[in-house]
Amino acid sequence: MIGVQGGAAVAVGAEGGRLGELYEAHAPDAVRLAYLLTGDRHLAEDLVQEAFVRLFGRFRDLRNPDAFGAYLRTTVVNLARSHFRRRQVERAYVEREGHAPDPPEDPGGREDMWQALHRLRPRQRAAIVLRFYEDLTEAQTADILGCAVGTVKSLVSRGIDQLRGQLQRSE
Amino acid sequence: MDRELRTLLQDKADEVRLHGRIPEDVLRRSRRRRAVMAALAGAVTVGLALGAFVGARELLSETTSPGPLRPAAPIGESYPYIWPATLGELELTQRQVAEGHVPLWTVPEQVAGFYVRDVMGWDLADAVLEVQKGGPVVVVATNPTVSDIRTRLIMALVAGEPGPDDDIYAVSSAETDAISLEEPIPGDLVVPGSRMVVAGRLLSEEPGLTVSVTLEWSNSAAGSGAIGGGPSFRHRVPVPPDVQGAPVARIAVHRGTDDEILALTSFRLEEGGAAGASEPELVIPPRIAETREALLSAAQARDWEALRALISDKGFTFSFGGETDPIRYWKRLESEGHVPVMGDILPAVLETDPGFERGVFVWPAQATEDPARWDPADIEALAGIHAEEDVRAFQEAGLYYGWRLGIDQNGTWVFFVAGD
Repeated sequence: MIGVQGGAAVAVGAEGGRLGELYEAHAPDAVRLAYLLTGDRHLAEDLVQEAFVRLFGRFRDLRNPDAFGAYLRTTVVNLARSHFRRRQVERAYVEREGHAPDPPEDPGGREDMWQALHRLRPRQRAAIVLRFYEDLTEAQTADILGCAVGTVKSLVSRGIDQLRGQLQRSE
Repeated sequence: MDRELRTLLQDKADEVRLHGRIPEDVLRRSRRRRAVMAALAGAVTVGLALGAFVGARELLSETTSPGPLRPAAPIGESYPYIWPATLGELELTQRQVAEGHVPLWTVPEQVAGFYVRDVMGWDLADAVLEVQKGGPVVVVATNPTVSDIRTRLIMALVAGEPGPDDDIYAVSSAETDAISLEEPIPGDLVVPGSRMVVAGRLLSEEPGLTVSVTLEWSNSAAGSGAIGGGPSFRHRVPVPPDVQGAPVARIAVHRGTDDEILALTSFRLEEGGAAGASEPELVIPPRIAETREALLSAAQARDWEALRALISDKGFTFSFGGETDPIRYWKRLESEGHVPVMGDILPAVLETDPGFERGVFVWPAQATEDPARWDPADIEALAGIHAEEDVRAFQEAGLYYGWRLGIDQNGTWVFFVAGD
């Protein structure tokens, strides 16, 4: 939640026990994935917290609680994609008020690639991150993105081509 | 390229370190969501059992309703806003705004956006937010992707200590034209350990709408399921005995059993009275008692045909698995050797104390309550039906999904079922 999570207290005691254990076990990996999808650490934490809220709310419905990590991964990917859709609404205000994103801290070749990655369409970027960072198969990636395996192949292939193109233009 | 990309992604991921334990905000929002989801799950079960819900209000008035709890005098003042949810969150937000962060809190539409996203669960891209002209600041929120019903968010400009730099907008209350409430009204008192009655009418003509109720405190949440089937609704929400402070009431409009919120009315109530207020004893009307006695006799005599004669030919729920004949199904469970339905479970269920929910007397009473608020007596009562580990599983799941039996206001046996 914007505006409060920065200083939010942590939950203690038995009430937060089970949820707390799940959070401690899965949140760090989920935040890394969200960061790769969004390029923004604070946003990544926001998305992961939202993902946990949604999954905790439905936790009893999960047929296989051991698969919590997989559910979480899918939820994070979907929330990230949803974020980029609604950002169209917020971007207008932010730009009008002059709150532009911070410039990269580490310019150079790797940073160019990082920037280029975040200029890809969210779905392309998600496919690449799931394949190259999470090491998921094309079928697993297709499951998460809700598309055909062939679409994953196309997203990754074209995404890589675009990355190459952008990097060549920046040289 | 592939290798460079993999290395880059791994290195970037390694830069991110998440410290810690679950933030309180995440836990609080999870509780709220779970309360609504649990309530909706209950609504699915009872909705299936009843087929159509009628006459709950009349039944309540003639039997067991404790009525609204309104102690004579209000006690103290409480935090007046519903969003941010607590004074601590509001003050923290003000500090962050004063330091130049999160400037969106100074814009009413943006604060309304946070509210519809975080409380109502809308995708911001779907929300239409318009500031109403004239008078106090009101943002009208609609989500055309789900409904045309409007929610008006009444905003307040909240001044902080340092000066105008930390003025932010907070949401004082929310109102929807789709609901007319009879009780409670903003500021009504809530007594810990009692039950809160929330009653009113659905005014929207959209078909299939239902209403759910959630009360949320800083340390707890309580919910009541989505009720449909007619324009009137009446919810009885158990108020936990250990709640602190004044709760926020959310009366939300849904479509059927979908948990998506189409619109809502929300306001803050007042804390009042002492903990441990007694709950009126549940009186079982004669026609319900007669049906219970007949069921118990049939079970004890292992008379399947007598049991069959008591099964309603419309809307009886006994399985969520697509079975068609309850007697055949229960016999099969018994023949498989691990579910003694007739000789053990049915009598055990009927020997417990009943609860009352949505026009139906339900055995055991614990099936109508949030497992988080079961006391040792509740757990002991359930021990007659379920194994200890099953009871623990209900508590961990936040939902009783064990065996329960319902008889409606006409004395009709409407469900005997386990599962979720």
